[in-house]
Amino acid sequence: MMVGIVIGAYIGGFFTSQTVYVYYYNYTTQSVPRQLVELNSSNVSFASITVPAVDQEGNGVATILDVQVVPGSGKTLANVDKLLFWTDTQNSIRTAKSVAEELTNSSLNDYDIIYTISANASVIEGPSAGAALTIATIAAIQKKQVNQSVMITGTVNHDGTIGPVGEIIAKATAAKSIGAELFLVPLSQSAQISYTSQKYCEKVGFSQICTIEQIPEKVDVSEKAGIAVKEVRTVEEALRYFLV
Amino acid sequence: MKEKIALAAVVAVAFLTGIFAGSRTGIPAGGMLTELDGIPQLSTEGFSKADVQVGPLMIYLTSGCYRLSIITNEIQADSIGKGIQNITDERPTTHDTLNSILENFNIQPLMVKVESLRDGTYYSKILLRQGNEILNLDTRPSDAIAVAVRAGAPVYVKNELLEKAGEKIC
Repeated sequence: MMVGIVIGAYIGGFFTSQTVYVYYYNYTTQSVPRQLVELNSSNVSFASITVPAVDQEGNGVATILDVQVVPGSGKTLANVDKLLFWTDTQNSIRTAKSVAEELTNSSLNDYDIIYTISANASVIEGPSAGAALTIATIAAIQKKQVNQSVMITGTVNHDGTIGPVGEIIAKATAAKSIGAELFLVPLSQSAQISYTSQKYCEKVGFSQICTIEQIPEKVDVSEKAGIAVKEVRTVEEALRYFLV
Repeated sequence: MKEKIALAAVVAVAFLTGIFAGSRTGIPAGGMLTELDGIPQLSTEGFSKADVQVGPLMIYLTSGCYRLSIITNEIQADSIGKGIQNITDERPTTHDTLNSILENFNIQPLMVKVESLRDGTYYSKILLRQGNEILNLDTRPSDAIAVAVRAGAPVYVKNELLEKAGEKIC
């Protein structure tokens, strides 16, 4: 009888309600609280600039560049919490720091500079944020506000000149969509030449001859993106629009 | 009746003789060469046939006393050089692959025409033929020449361009 009860209870167990454990994994991204350095606030300066960029899917995204200057020993630091830094971005940061020191006639040997780049994309590549990095660094050194209605794209060279970049129209469109009123571009890049393939055919006797040519079309970036565009040759020229 | 048979025989003999003569002279049935001759894009008037040579990062097109030097990259120069020497690497290059595709789909590269120089860039066209269809395709000179040397197609340079941008070598 006992054996029967035990077997019956075991089988009956399959027909009764059971507790179901459901595990929810929380994949929600949480912002990492920034660790504040406890220093005299007068020695810490901070500047932020928005740069329009194009992600790997070709979408325009806003990239926020934060530059923090804190007392230290001359280190150049990159906060990689939110974004993977590419080698070319690191090169741009080094150049930006060097140009900023030169233009402000200051030495950053007693300060550390912390660069944080955050964007709505996992990876942003390309050195086209060089000019913006330099402007943000200068703003941080001089403790000045950056005019957020102005945005810029362009590489930075060691002599302070701004070099050409690609995908100007996409970046200008991105700049407008994220609130810019004026977009600064490198020299000769306020117009972009794009090429379209055109095919035309004709009959000659029994033969058909088709010609395919690449037809250049000059596109005005300002007209195409619907934003005011100005060419700038150097970082110094660009600073006139940024620092208020 | 006899006269009609004789006339038919004469016509038949004449027809067969014509076919035989045509086959001996190499004129394709349907007079295809005549058709192609009438196509203006295939005219080489105002152009000179050029010999192709390559150097490190350079393509040299020599015609008569003029030599045109076109800057290219190492891969393109190497590909043209191998095409001239009929060398095939262990694995086919892009131009080898392209030529195989053209050959297997009966597309014949007819010629390359280097036509102009604008803002430091040379412009050329490659003419391809498949049956009665001709394609006059805007192509980088290095690509067009790499295909032409593999297919044995001639390269022509516009005389005006030779005189303007070419180096006088004799």
